[in-house]
Order: sequence, then C-alpha cells, then structure tokens
Amino acid sequence: MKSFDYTITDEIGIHARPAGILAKKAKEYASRITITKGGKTAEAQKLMAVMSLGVKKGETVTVSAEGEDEEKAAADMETFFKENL
Amino acid sequence: MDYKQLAVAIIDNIGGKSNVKSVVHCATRLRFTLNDATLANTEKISNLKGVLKVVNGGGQYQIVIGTDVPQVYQEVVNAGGFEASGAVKDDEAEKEDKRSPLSKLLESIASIFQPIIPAITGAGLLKAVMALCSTFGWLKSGTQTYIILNAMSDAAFYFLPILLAASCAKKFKCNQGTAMALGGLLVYPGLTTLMTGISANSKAIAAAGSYEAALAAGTIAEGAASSIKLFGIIPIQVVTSYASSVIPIILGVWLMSYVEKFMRKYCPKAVKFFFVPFFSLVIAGIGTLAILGPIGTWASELIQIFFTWLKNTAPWIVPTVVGIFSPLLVMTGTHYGLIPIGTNNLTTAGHDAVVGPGMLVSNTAQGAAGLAVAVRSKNPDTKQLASSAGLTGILGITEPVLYGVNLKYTFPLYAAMIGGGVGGLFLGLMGVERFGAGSPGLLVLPVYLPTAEAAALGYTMSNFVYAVIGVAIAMLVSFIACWIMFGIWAKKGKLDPKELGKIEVKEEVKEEVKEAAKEVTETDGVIYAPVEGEVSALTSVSDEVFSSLTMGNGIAINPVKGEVKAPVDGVITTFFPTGHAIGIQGDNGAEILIHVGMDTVSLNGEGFEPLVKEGDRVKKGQLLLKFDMDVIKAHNLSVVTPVVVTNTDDLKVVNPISSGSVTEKDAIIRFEV
Repeated sequence: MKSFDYTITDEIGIHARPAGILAKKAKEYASRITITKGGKTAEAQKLMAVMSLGVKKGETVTVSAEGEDEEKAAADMETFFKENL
Repeated sequence: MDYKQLAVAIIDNIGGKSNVKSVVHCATRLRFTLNDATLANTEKISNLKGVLKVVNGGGQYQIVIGTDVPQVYQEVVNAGGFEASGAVKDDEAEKEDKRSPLSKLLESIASIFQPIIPAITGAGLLKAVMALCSTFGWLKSGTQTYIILNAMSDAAFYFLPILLAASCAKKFKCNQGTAMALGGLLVYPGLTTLMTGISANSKAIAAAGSYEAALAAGTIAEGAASSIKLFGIIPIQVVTSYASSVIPIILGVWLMSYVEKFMRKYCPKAVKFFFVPFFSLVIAGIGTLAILGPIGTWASELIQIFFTWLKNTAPWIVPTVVGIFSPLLVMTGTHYGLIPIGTNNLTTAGHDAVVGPGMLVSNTAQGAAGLAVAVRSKNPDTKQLASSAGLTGILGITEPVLYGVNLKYTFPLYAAMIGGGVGGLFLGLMGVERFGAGSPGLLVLPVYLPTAEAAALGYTMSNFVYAVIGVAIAMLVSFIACWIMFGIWAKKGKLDPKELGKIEVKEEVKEEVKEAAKEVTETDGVIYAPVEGEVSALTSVSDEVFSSLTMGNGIAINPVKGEVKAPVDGVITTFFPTGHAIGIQGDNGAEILIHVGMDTVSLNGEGFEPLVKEGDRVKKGQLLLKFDMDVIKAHNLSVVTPVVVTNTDDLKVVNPISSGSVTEKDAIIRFEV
C-alpha cells in the first residue's frame, strides 16, 4: 500500500467539480484508492462519498492506493492533488 | 463504410480501451462490457457514420451496427488489442430481426460487397463513360487509349474474386492474405490459359465427332487433353472463367475458414506458422477448383438446357423469364449458361431474342430501382451511391447498383425483377430482336435497329420502337414499384432510420422513450424534480465535468423559482457549507447530487439559505434549500441545476425521461437497481 498526505490549498476545498474528476481518474487504476480525513475514509471512485467528507482548505487528507499499480496510482494522485487542489 | 475509422472512433468515445472490460458481437451489435459506462459518450457514438443506435442496459453497452458488424468487430479488436471471440447468439436481436431467410442471405452477400462498393462504383462509372464515348465514336476499341482505360475500368471486375476474398476473410474470420491468395488462384492467367485450351480441345472434338477425327482435321494437336486432372486423378472442372465470379470465391473462403480453424487447433506449435496457410491454400484451392467452382458450371449448363427448351416451346415468354431472373443469374455466375445461346443466335441467324431483350429490360429496371432509392432516401450517402450506381446501371453496368443498392435493401431487387418481367413480357409478345451484341443498357439500343440482313428478313423500325417502349415500361414499372416498396418497408420498420431522415429519427426516439416510460412499473426507482423549471439534457450543460456524465447520468433543470425540494425520501449525506450543492442517499437506492447553478461554489454561500443539514432524514417534497436567483445571475453565473445520479454505475438502468417544464410533482429520472 502506498500513501501520501496532502494539505488542501484550494479555497473551496474538494467541491463537486474536482471531486468528479478525481472520481473519474481513480477509476483508471486497478488499485483501490481511498481518501481519509480525520478518521473518515471514502473510496475515491465514489463521488458522493468523497464529497461527503467535506474536505476544506487547510485540512489534511491521507490518500492511499492499494493494488497492482499502487506506485503509479499514488504518484498520479499526488500530481492530481497538487495540480487541482 | 470505413470500418477501421469507425472502430477507432467508437473506442475513443467509449472511454478509451482501458474502459473496455470485454467486447463481443452478435448478429447486428457490438456488445461492450465497460468498466464505467458513464464515460461513454452515447450521443457522439450514436451519431457516428455506421452506427444505427446505442442501447445501454443489462450491464452491456450495445452499439447496433447492422449485418457488417463482424468487420467492425474485427477492427475494434485490432485497434483496442482486445481478445477476439466468436459471434454470440442473441435471442432478443433474433426476435427483432424481421427479415426472411432469403433476405438475410442476400443481405449477407451485400455485406460482403460493402467494402468493395466504392471500387466497383468508380470502375463502373468509368466503364459507362467509355461505353458512351465508344457510341459517339470518340473512343475506338483496340487503340492504346482504349486498352489502358479498359484495364483501369475492368481490373476491379476481373479481379473481383481477390477483392471479395479480402472481405470474406473478415466475415468468416480467417487469414485475409491466404484468402486473397485463393482468389488470386481463381483468376491466375496460367490456369485460365490451361482451361481455355482444354475447353477449345473438347469443343473441337465434339465438333469433329471424335478425337481421331479432330486430330485428322487439324483442329487439335497431338496429345491434346480434353479434361483436367490434378495429380492424374482429381478432376478439375473446366469453367469458362472465374474472372468476375462471385459465388465460387465466397464458398472457397468459407471452406478455407474451416480448414484454417481445424489446422490452427491440431497443428503442432513449432510448424504452425507455415503449415496452417499451406494446408489452407492447398485444401481450399483443390476444393474450390474441383467442387465448389464447378457447381456453378453445372448450374450454368442446366440454365442453358432450360432456356433452350423454353425458347423452343414458348419463345415469347423467354424475355419475361430472363427479365425477371437476370440479376440472380449474374450473381451466381450462371448467366454463362445463357449468354452462349445469344451469341450463337447472333452468329448463325443474325438476330437474337433470347438473351438481349431480357437482359436489356432487367438492367435498365435495376438502374431505375436504384434511382428510386436515391430519390426516396434521405440519407445523403445513400442518395449519392444509389444515384451514381443507378445511372451506370441504366447504361448497362449493373454491379454497383446490384451489390451496392438492390441487394443491400432487397426490395429494389424485387422491384427490378417486377419491372424486368413486365418489360420483358412486352418485348416477348412484340417479338423484339437484337441484331448485334453489347452491354445491355440504354447505350445498346442502336443494335435494335435492323441491319441490312435483318431488313431483308422483314424487320423494320418498329422493332427499335418496341425495344424503346419495352425499356421505358421496365424502367417505369421498376421505379414505381421500388418507390412504393420503399414506403411499405419504411412503415414496417424494416428500414435503417437514417434512410428516413433526421426528423423521423427523432420521432422514433420519442416513441422509444414513451415505450420505455410505459414499460417501467411503479415499483421501479423514480426521482422527482427538486426544482421547478425547464428540463434539458445533462450533456448540454456548460460544465464539462457534468456534461461528460463523469459524475453520473442525470438531467439538468433551469429553475424558475429559488427553492430546492427533496426529490426522494432519504438522508442528506452532503450539504456543502457554501449551500449550493446537496447530496442525498435515497431510500430507493439512488445517490443524488443536486448542484444549483454552474461554478456557484465561488459565491461562497452568498444567496444560499440551507434549511436542513448533513445527516438529516428528509421526505420527498421537503424544502431543503432556498436560493436567490438574482444574486447568482448578478455574478454572471448560470442557474442551470444539474441533478445527477452519482451511483449510476451501480444501477442497472438510469433513464432521464422528462422533457419540457417540470414541478416537484413530475418524475424526471427513472432507474432500476
């Protein structure tokens, strides 16, 4: 399992649009990708679950990838977060 | 249709090859199992050239192509690197298939011709132009120009077996190169020369009465053979020519596909690479030359016997019969049984009523049928093909119109047969004769003018006049019959919607939608409108994340009132602090996202008044949010509100079905878990 922490810099946090793209991107990988905030974990592929985490600016989330392509998945996810959130 | 282009376009719009779990095909559809069906751009795919419609349901993303789906499937498999599998049987498609076995056979042949139609059409047009130039004396046969142009126009037809073999290989799923080699065998010059020589020998022997007599008369050489035997024992039938033939190569490649499959299964891996094509070629080659090809020749001989008897019994009916069945004879190559009768008549008696008149009305009728299709069809591609093919058909070159139009839709063929029959009846009753040879079509009419010898026998200009009238009758009847049949076929739903034009396609789609709405029962999932306003397709909203259906399937509403009410009974799972988006877990299984306006997150809550909070249980119709439309509009933002089923992937069917204005009482989405 590979994971990384990330602090949200986007003013609005994880809102509908990035959540949607995130969910879509997460589906590209064989690995199971999750986002955890303060004890609550959501599957990255599930849009609603991600949005219900209510991640805001300044909050830190832990993103984990577990599976065949976890290296690539985690790396790509980190890039995604840096570029969009 | 460019199969490769279509395949690539499908894969691009279906979410890429990584989105395809597997793909199979049935008689008419590509059946994809996708990882994420929401990634597929259904609207784009259904508008692709070659796609009739898209059906998404039951866990399968189906793209309806038509009878040439095997060729498209092959390209899809190649382009996407998917595992290929054989065609699957599909009960529901079979039920939808209203065509008779005969129609299916004819359409199969038409689909084999599909990729070659452009070549035949172009070459056919050149042939027609050449014939026109010859008639006006601008082009003289035998000149270098003529020979070269003739080669250009005839190549596609002469080497038809090779062209067809390539297409058959895709349909019967065997190696294309080997199949084309088989086609090449059939038209190989050395083989043709051998057959011509043997044929001449046997004719000479028959004429002289015996081998010795012919030898004495000098018409054959010492040691001349009169039959062909492979390895000294296998008899190879001498055929007039395999050039331009159709049925032998189709049967040959079909046989080859079985040989290839068998050899692939049982050949040891080490030698598979060269043994499989070796055996394919040899076995299929012998099979075609010894059995399949000759079947056509025997049929031709039967045809010849039949028509000779008919001519002697009731000569007036011959043009009728020829007029009706000529297309079928040409397709099966059995017209070679008929043509010698005509040639013989011309050389011995100087006139012929057996072959010429019947084929004349048949060809012009076929051309007329093609033109009728061109006029009635609203599909621009069909109009182009049918009009050019119809025109060349009237001028006497029928392959493009026969294989590209009449066979494909089948009813024009029936119309042409009727027209040819009626025209032929007229010509037969009036005793019309032709006095020269030529490709039967409008351009050949001059040979119906009496020559000097014919005039001596009592033929007058009336012969020519009747010939013209006969052609006119055939064309008119065929055109009208085809016109009427187009309408009948359209009503019965047997026609491709594209032929009927866009407007009627919309009607069909509306019908389908109404049907879908009727079929769904009350117990299935229903989502009602959370806001009051005008409904529009989710795919049309300005935000790509929503319009690409990335979030899921759904609908968009342009609200007229600033109130959001619960669309279902359920629990609020998400209520954005900015108040502009609400996520509900419906008791009925749907996860619904209501996003008020586009980019409204930027308002940071200004103008939004949430009335419930996360975790609250709500009832359908309960007021969840109040928002100020003026505030949103003042910031130059759209108020269009997407309502998205975010767990579309987990549901069987998601159908946004409403159109027009809705209130909270109206259902906007129906779904099945």
